[in-house]
Amino acid sequence: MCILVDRDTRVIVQGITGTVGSFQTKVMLDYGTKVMAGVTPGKGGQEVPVYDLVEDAVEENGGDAVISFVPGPFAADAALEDIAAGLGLVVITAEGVPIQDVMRVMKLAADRGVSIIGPDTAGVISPGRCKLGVHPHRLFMEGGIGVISKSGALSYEVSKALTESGLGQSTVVGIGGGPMWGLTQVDALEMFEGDDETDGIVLLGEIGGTMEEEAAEYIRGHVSKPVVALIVGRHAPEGERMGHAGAIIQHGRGLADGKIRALRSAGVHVVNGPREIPNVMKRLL
Amino acid sequence: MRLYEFQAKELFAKHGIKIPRGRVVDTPEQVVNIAKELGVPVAVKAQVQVGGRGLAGGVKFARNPEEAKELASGILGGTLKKEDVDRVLVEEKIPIEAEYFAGVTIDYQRKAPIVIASSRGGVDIESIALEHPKEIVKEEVDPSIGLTDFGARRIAKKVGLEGRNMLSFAITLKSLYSILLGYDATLVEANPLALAADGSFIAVDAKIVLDENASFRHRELFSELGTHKKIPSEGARLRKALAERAEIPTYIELGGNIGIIADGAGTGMLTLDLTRDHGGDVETYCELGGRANPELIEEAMKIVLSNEKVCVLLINLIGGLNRMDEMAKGITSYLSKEKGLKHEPGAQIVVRISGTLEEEGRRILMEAGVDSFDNIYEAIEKAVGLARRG
Repeated sequence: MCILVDRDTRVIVQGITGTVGSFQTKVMLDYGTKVMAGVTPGKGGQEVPVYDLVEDAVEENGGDAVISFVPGPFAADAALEDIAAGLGLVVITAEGVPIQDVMRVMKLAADRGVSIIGPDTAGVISPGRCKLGVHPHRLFMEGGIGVISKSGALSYEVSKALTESGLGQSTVVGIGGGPMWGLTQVDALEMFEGDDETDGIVLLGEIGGTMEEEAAEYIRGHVSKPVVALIVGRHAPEGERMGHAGAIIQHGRGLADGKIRALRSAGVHVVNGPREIPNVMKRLL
Repeated sequence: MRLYEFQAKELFAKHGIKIPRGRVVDTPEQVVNIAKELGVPVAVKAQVQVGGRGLAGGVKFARNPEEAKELASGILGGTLKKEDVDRVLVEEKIPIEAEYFAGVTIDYQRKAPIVIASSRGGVDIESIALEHPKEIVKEEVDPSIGLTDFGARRIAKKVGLEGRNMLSFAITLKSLYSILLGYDATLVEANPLALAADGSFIAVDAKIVLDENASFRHRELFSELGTHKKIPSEGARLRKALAERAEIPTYIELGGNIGIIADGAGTGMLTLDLTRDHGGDVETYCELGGRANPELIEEAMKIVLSNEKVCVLLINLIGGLNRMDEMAKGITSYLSKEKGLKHEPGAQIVVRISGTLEEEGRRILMEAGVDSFDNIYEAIEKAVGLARRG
């Protein structure tokens, strides 16, 4: 097993005819992802069947999950369409989605029991089985490490280090850059703890907010598998937004130090960089 | 984006919230005129976007027009917390019976709007939280229902208001809430919200932060805000302004000699951390987001390398959506143009690429005579070593 997506996940691609959407769909198909259909309003009918409406794509092809390449201004409406069409897992890759739009999507998703990943995420990959995302998949390898990351690129960097040292990954989840998240670190930790294929967990966090502190609290009470963590932004200046909407130290809050202390006190092994992760993990397994 | 006080007050007035009489002006002479017109003691308030204006000396009170002019001369043309002050808001000084706090914001964890109110206004909410934590009322709003009349009245009651005062405080809260929704704001705050002798509430200060991601829904408002912005003439602030104009997501100068360009926030912060760990002194933190294109990286290189303090530029890219062939094209395009420049930048460039289409990217770089690393640590060690040698 792995979490969230596997070999049988039937995928719908929203925004499939754009430059990014069409390229990434090809990569996902090459990887073996079961891309059933795509949706772009006004562009119905191409190589993979393309529909104007998500509900039509799902009705005629089936579908469990959707990855959306729809840009920020329209991303929320696209997600509402996915929820209305009954899809259970929605990956929103877009950056720059208005926060009040995100809020409305999250509320409806919570009411309907739909999992949202993102926004501003690289998606999720279960190496060797399913790629519902934009990962450079050659850096990934099937195996027993679950990876949770706010940043897409940081998850590539760490998976590269794991793969090069022979440690494959069960699933790599990008939860997104915030400041409002669907799936959280705690949600992903819970899934990995319950997944029999995952032997160890890598948690990649960053400055700002309190999610890492909450993850630490959760790990203390509920996670028996070894957890190795890396928190980036240790040298970030106060008061500057470092790129993700949530990555900012304000009034001395959200500092890396506090997160590292919280994680260490919960028994997590915190390292300074990607190359230490495989060695520490091997020692703990 | 934070609005200037006078802009926020215009929106308040449009939505029925009382504000002091006054006008925004940019010369001391105009200050005299407006103060004469008002005919009462006035407040002269620097129009800046940074917080903590009052403590930094940006708000002064004058008993007569001449005094107002003198105070304004001291504020106009100066800086406040590193921000240029080219306008002041001159308005009547309100005789205050009591100061309240009323604000609406988005609670990211609860994923809902939240109303915050207190009878201890006049200082920032953090200070109220520290000194009088029990006197802050916080109420979550169900976004699908909105702030109801009775919900607003309940908050007003909890703040300790009765009768007409309670009713007019509740109406003010409803106005703040409709501004939050109507303009895609993330924060709308009246503090102090002054209770006047006649029982009405007046927003003595106003703060609105807009969600830039929603600017496409409020084009007119945003373009008007843009016209108030001046492009600085040189130095760090010029580079920052150019980066903003080129839509580079993050550009920060830190005071060292190594420039960093990365393609994402997480990998950018990692590069910054590891470079510092290796003894490097970082000058520029420039992050392009996960969806860069050749033009964006070329523009970023131009801006980072126009800074004379940068003696080594470290480009660290690990692409998913970002294609390394495209990034390589941007890098080589910059380098080929640089050869034609009269004053070639003296900085050395270290490139690391990995991820989507990296072989193609490496080939393009190689053909242009640029070596590239695959391993992040090797690239950082190289950059730090070069920077040490100066």
